[in-house]
Formats: sequence, structure tokens, C-alpha cells
Amino acid sequence: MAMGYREVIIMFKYEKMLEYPVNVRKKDLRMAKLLNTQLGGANGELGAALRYLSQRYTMPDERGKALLTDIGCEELGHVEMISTMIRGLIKDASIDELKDAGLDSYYTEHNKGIYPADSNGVPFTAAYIASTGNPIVDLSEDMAAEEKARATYENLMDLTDDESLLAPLSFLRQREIVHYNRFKELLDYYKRR
Amino acid sequence: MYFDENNNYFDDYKEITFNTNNIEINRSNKLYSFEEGFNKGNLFEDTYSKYKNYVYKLNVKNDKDKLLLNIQTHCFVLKDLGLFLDTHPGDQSILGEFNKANNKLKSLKEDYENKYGPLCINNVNSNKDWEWINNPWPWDTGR
Repeated sequence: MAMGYREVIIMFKYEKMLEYPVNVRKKDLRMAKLLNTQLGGANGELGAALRYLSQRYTMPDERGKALLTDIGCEELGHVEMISTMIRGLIKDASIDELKDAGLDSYYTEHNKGIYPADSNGVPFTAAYIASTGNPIVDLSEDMAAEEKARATYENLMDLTDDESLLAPLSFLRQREIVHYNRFKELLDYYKRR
Repeated sequence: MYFDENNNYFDDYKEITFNTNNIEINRSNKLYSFEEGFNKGNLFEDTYSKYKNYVYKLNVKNDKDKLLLNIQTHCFVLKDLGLFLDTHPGDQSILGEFNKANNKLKSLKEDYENKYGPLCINNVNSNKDWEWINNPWPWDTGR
């Protein structure tokens, strides 16, 4: 290969970097609790990854198989970004601080571990996603899911003025818009056929 | 519109809808610079949608993080252009941009991995120590 660079194809590959840097500056248990919804909540990134990586098997053509694979993989990168943010916000907290933030129940179950639940502690469930085997139905659900995630990011951005959180939240929100557009293009293309 | 999932075909019934397809065709697909697109989370000017005027610029201090940020930027470009090409596989201009960014990314990654260790397990390049495990991991540094 050019430049002698070794490139071996294996699936799935882990790249030892985030999609977009997360520089959490200070601990903030309130935001850690709220952000958890984008990890394991109904409109969160884990649900998004599972939704698209499950639905791709019944996409009818090359475009659909590629798009759902590529967006599904990107969503796993978003799971990692959100998890990294929560870890950064929570790692230096004392027991008293956890209690004051209402995270003592979280601590009881998970200590400071990362766990896919929503911001109220309700565990992630696959009931948040659909996979109907029908690309028209699935893509319609995907567009709705991206919009719900976008709205959730906007709610989270309303709840903080910390730029070190707003930057990755703004990035992640924008990705929902891009994904929505791509799903819409694919749905329109299928409807034209 | 009806899709028969058992027989994997779209039936001939055409629904009457407002045709938004021309809007897609007339889009300019003008791209932001790679850096600006990465900061915004979207390379395509026409579809960028901001919220409360929030735009952030990423800054890094040392050479290692600067190089990594450049790699992340090019990975992002490949991701965003790749998604576009999934639904526009015939777009030669975007394909050209993808290939340019891909070549640049390869040389950036080679440079980084030679200096600072592997980003991917298939680029481990050491005969004595198993350098893949070396800290930091992305959640340690946020990078």
C-alpha cells in the first residue's frame, strides 16, 4: 500500500480516540445525572446504535445497507462521547456531593460506574427501539428518533452554561440533523422507486 | 407507498405527494472548510442548523493533541462525506473530496502512530512491549 502504511481490514475495529473531543473542566453531578438520558434513555445514543444496526439487515438495497451501517457505527461513537462526559463529571465527587445531587441511589446500584439508564435511573430497554423489517416504516421511525434526540440535546443545552459541555452537545445535536437529512433522502428515494 | 417485506419489492402504487425532490437537486452542496465543518458538526453549508448561535472552536495545547485533532477532523470529514455518498453514490465532486481527505488521513495517522503509538490494534508496531494497552485511553483524556 502507498507510503507503506499497513491497513488490515477487520470488523469491528476500535479506534483509540473520540469522534469529537470532550474536555470536561469541572465536576457537575447535576449535569451528569441529566446527560445519562442520552446514554440509556428512550432517545439516547445506545438506542440509536442498536436501532440502526438491527434494522440494516432488512434494508432492500446497497444505499440502505450502507447508510444504516455507517450511522449505526457513528452512534456507538456517540455512546462513547456521552459516557466520557458523564465519567468526567462524576469521577471526583465525594459521597456528600453525590447525596446532595440526588445520586446516592445511583451510587448504591453502580458506584461511579457508567450504566445505560435515563436521567431518572430507569434502565435502558430494547422496547425503546423498533425493527419492523419494513424499510419505509423503519426509516420513518429513524427520522422521528433523530428529531427526538435533537430536541433532547437542545433541552440539555438549555440546562447548562458550561462551554466544555456545550461544545460536544452542540456537535452531537448537529449530527442528529445530518442523520435526519440522510434518512429522509433515503426514504424519499425509496418512495420514488 | 407499500413495501412487501416478504417479497422485497416496492409495489407500483405511486402516492401523490408534494414533490420536494427538486429542492434536493438544486442544493449547492457547498462545503465548509474541514476545520469549520468539524467544529459545527456538519460539513454541508445548506443543511447546517444552529441553536442559539452556539458555535465552538476547538483549541489544543501540545503537538500530540494538535495532530490527534487533525486526525479527528479528517475522520469526521470521511464520516460526513461518506454518509452523503451513501445516498448520493454518483456525486463525483464529493467523491473527489472524500478521496483527498482519505489520503491525508492515512499520512496523518501514520505520522501519529509512529510517534505516539497505535490508534488501532492492527497498527501495533512493536516487537517487545504490547503497546496497545498503554494509557491514556480516550475517556482518560477526553480525546
